Amino acid sequence: MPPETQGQTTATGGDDKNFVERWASGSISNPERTYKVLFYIVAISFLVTTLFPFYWLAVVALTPQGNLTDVGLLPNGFNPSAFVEVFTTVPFHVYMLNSLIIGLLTTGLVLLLASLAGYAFGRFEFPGRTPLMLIFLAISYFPPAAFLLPLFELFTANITFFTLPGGSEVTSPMLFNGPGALVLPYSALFLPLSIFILTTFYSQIPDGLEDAARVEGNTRLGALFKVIMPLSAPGVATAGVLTFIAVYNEYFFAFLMTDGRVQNWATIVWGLLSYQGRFQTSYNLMAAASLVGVIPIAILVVIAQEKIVSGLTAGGLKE
Amino acid sequence: MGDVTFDNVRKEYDDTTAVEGLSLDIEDGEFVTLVGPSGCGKSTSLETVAGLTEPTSGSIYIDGENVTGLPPKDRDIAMVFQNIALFPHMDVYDNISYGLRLRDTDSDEVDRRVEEAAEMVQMEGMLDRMPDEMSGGQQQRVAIARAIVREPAVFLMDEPLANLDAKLRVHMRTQLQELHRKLDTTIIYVTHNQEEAMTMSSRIAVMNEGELQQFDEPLECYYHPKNRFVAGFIGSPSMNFIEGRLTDDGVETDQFTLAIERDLQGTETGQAVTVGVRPEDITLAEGATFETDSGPVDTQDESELDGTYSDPIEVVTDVLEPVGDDIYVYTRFPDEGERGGSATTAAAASDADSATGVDTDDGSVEAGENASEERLLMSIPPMPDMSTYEAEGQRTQIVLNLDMVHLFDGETGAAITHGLTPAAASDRGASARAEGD
Repeated sequence: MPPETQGQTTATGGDDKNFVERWASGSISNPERTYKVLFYIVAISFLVTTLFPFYWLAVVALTPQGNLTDVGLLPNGFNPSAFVEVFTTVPFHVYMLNSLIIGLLTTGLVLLLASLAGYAFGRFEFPGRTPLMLIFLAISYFPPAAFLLPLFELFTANITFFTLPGGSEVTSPMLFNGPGALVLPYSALFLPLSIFILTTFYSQIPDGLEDAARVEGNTRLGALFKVIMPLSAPGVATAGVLTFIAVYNEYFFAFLMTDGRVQNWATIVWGLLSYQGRFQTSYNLMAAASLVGVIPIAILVVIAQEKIVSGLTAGGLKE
Repeated sequence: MGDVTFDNVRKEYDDTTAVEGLSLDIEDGEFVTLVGPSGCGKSTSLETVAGLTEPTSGSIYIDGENVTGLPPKDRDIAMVFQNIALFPHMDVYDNISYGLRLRDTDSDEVDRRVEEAAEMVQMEGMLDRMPDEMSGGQQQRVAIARAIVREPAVFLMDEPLANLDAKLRVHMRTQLQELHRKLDTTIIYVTHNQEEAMTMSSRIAVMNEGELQQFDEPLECYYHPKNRFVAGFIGSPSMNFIEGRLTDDGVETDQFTLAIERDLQGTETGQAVTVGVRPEDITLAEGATFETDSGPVDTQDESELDGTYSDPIEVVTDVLEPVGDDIYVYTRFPDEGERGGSATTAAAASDADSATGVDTDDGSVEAGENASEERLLMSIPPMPDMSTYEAEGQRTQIVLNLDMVHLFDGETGAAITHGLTPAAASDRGASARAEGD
């Protein structure tokens, strides 16, 4: 019913309004209140759906191993030592360290390359710029599985590039079980998005600032890293955080590009799976490890949010 | 030392030529202004000196060295930008010292020079401010400090005052001149504001459509413009132009005839010419007057009429603009029907905006060479008792100072003569030049 008719109904209704009528007339005269109520309803349902899995993980983690078959909304028993056992049964901290290192390496490489590409795309006119950008974006939509077999062959030294006159062959390097086998495909997969983000940011830095940096004594690259990049901090932070989270979270390559041993750069995925023994699966430890594994990301997001919110580009330049 | 030479510099973009064969010799310690309307190539020329733009052909020399292919950082220049371009993520100290720190200067030395530079632009004590905490004028002063701290051979300034308000602009103008006197470094300054160019520079280079029109001292450009463009661009309000042709004993336009008592070499009778006369060289004829709402405008003081004047020319007043020390009177020539009759139909076609240059048209000129639409702008001294400036449609008579009437070729716009009396204008120009020095 349109608001006007609703209003008329309540007007004729006099004193004997029922609850719905009172609510309707109240929200017509004061729509702010209704918006507020709706906001809270949406926000709370969103929070419940996103946070409930974490709560459920905590419940499972705290429930002693023997009681796992009977878990309600509250933990059946209280066993905080699961959070210690996580590290004693398996070197989970090393798995985490592997994940962190691979995540940071990938993020660094992606930001470096995407900065150079973003600088070119964002600040230069050159023939074929738009088609090239579209190709980059198209690549980012390829399913990663499509690359798996060729990459696996490549990274396990099974590809011969050419044979030297002496008979020795130049083959692809053996990267399997090393960080390269993960960092390289991740970088390639997550580059397009970062290029896209940084292109947008770098194109908005006024030409005058780059010119000023160059006159003051920077090369073009110097101006990029000393002036354009710091001024695009929100964009760089966004691209970096998205890349890091995606890598930290990645399952497919992480599972297939190592043999799962912790000294062979196996990541958190392998760490979690290693609580699954031949005879029993320690679901409580898996849950506890999952919670521990979230901590670095939570910290990162809190820090990066500060960076993203602080509008560094404000002021300093007219027009 | 910082002499700068443009050697036949040309810059083409895809479909346009921004700079067309520019050659200039700028001496060490000079304050040279490149001036011209928007899009005349002045900024592009400056960028070729800075190294921010590569010329398509030609060379740039700084201190005798060919720097054409060098990156900006190797040219020993500093630049102040129109949009100020302070690094927003650095405080004043870091902004000023940026170039020094890039060159690994000793930190005590950096401190000392930053202090000095900040003092010179009166920004000491504000070194820890961020750019967005300062006013536009303060930001521009920091930008100037950033330029002077490195003690470069040449300063390049690309409309540095354009974004400041009028009062601050005039103040900064004086400060820049003071700075130039103190530093004695070559300054190349770009502006579209002819007044800035006239007041600050030792020489100005007037450019139009990528080509250099004239490179001379400011008053030389004022009194002896090389062509119609320079004549119209330099001076405010700008020169009046009336189309005419040469006759045996003078120049004739549709409205008046001027006698020429001078040998004009290389001209022929019947040749199309443009008569140019500045508003300040037009006065009311002896005994002529016109009514305003607050009384008649008096005849000019006799002492004002110290030149050779033309015969009185009949005009109709249009719009009066008081600007304080002058009143600008827009006049137009009476229509045929009006001539000798009453001046009642006056204001109808008036359009104050179009009157600054006589060559600007309003719609009614489409009918061809409708000369009665041409306007003359005259500047007269203010009347102390005048309270209103409503004087449209008043018939009066004016005279032109023949010493100061310029003739330009009707086809090419090149100057034919400055002054129609024997040697008069050149004398005045010369004395003015002496004052300028």
